[in-house]
Amino acid sequence: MLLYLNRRWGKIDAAARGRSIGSRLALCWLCMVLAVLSAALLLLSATGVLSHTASQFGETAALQQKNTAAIFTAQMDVLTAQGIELSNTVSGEVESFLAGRGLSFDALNDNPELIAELEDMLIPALKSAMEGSTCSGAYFCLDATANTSLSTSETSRAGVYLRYSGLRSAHPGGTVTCFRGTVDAARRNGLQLHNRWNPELNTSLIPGYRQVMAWDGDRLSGGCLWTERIPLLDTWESVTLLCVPVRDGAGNVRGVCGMELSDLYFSLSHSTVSGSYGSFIMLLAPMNGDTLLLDKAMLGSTEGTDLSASGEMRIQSGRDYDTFTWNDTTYLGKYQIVPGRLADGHPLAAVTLVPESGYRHQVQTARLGWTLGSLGFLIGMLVLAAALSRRFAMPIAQGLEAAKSCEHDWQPTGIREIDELTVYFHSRLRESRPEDALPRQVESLVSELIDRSKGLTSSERIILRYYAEGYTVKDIPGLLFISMGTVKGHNSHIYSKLGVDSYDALKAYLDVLRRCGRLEELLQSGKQRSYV
Amino acid sequence: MKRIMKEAMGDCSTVEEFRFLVRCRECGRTWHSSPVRFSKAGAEPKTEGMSAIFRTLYERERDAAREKAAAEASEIFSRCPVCGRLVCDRCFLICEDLDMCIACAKTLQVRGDIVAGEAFAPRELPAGPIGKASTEESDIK
Ligand SMILES: [Zn+2]
Ligand SMILES: [Zn+2]
Repeated sequence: MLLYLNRRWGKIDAAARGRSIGSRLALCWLCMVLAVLSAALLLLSATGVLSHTASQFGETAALQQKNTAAIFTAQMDVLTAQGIELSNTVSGEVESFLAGRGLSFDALNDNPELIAELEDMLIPALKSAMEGSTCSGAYFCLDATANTSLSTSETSRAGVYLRYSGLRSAHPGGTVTCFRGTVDAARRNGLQLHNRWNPELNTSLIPGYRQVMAWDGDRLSGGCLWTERIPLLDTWESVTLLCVPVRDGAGNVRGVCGMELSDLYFSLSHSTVSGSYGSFIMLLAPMNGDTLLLDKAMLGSTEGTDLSASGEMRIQSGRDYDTFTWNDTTYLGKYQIVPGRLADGHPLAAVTLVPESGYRHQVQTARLGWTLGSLGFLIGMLVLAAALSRRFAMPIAQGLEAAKSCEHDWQPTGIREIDELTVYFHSRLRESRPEDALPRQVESLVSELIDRSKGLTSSERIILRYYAEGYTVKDIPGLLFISMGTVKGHNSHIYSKLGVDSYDALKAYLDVLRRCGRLEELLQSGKQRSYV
Repeated sequence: MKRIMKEAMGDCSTVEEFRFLVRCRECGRTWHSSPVRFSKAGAEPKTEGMSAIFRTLYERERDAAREKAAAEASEIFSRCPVCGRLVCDRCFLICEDLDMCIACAKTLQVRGDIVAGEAFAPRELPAGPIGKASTEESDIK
């Protein structure tokens, strides 16, 4: 009897120990909420809201642009300083040359020998100025010509223009050739003549020439000008020239000198900067309103793009970066005005840009990363939620099944509420099993049996309970320490009291009672005393 | 139950056969188990090795016989739950609440029916196929 009670109480215990339905629900909900969050994340990343590519690119471009502007500004400042020094040297030499001969400046006109002699004397200074600076050439020209009777004498001016030939790297070097200058002066200084050599400079091709000649200032730095990019006569090269006034002792401007930056040299010395968005191109361009004059601009290396120094580039300012349109191609980047006077008066802009395709590629990569990441998270959460709900739903279904059946050997589900419900259902079922639900005959038989069982003694009841639990007659002596004779004596009493004629008949009745859920009534009716 | 029985059983086996006895602690009657013959009874071990084998066989068969005898005894002996003594069916009562021996029933003034009452001769325990009982007490060793 104790054994039996133990089993029943054990079940109620297990029901009390199970996990609450609420905690399981909370876990499931948490998973679902996370799944919804990741779905939202997926949506956001698919639309690109989450990836800060635009602002990241803006920062990168701004940093690059700052660098570009600093490089250009420094280069122009250094060249200007060296140009001024060259101007002072040339002024001094010309002054002492003419003074030594007691001649005025105008004496140079129509005097080729004198010009050649002067140039011969100035070439070493020009050469050393050129070699001492980061440029591709240097020149000076004086307001005089060897033959005033020529039709081109108005624009033809005496002077020396030295250039490097065969430039191959950003470090100037190689052969210095004489592009402009008298043959005698070149020969005497051991210089080769450029294959497009001319004795004098054509000032009409130097945009700043007239402005510089007309300058009337105090400090030389105020008279310095940069030309836009101009084609070098008779060559396939383009150059930008620094123009510094050359004055005589009285302060009159008598000529122009300066350095040359060829487009080849410029592109060699400003290579592209590779980054995750592609290669950044640097360029220095005159600006007209919101347009960059690319046909007058100096371009750094354009490796990997089809950008060339022609046409115009329209600027569209943006929040994070600026958009540049050139020949239907879009570039993204930044620009800023750098100090430096241009001959045509346009402001000079330092620009850093990258083809849009590189940026788009990076955006797509970032977006793809975000999308895949949140998609993976979403799938993981859905799988987890499905697994949890499965683990959660199955015990409920089992519990409901157990609650519906009136079996006594149901398994606790581990969900406290369900198990308690099952225990409650079972107790209610036992208490309130409708009697008229049974067939009349069976019902009367059952009632009669229960009625008769009231006459059983507690010893007989104990033995009857063992039979109800499935023990046989043979097991009883060992269980109760009584002889088989004693057992048989009890049996005959039980049989006669319950009105059955054999052990088999008794087992059959016990089975009927169990199925009706009224076995306990039989075993507990009558006296409630127990000696077990 | 068997364990208690085996502990209470006396051994009256001979070289020929195995036999055990249980004495009722109430009336003093002795019950003998049905004899089991030793399989090598009468055979003479020819060698020393043989006799060792016989000894082992004897021990083994006696254990089996003791087991069988305990089962037989369980048919007619009960342990009184009050005094704890092993009594025969003639000295054990089926009572209303708790079965007990005659002595305890008398002391506690409980009424009951003797398990093996009138069915048997007054001083003979049921014997027949499962051993026989006698009043001899000298058999208990
Ligand atoms: Zn007795
Ligand atoms: Zn007793």
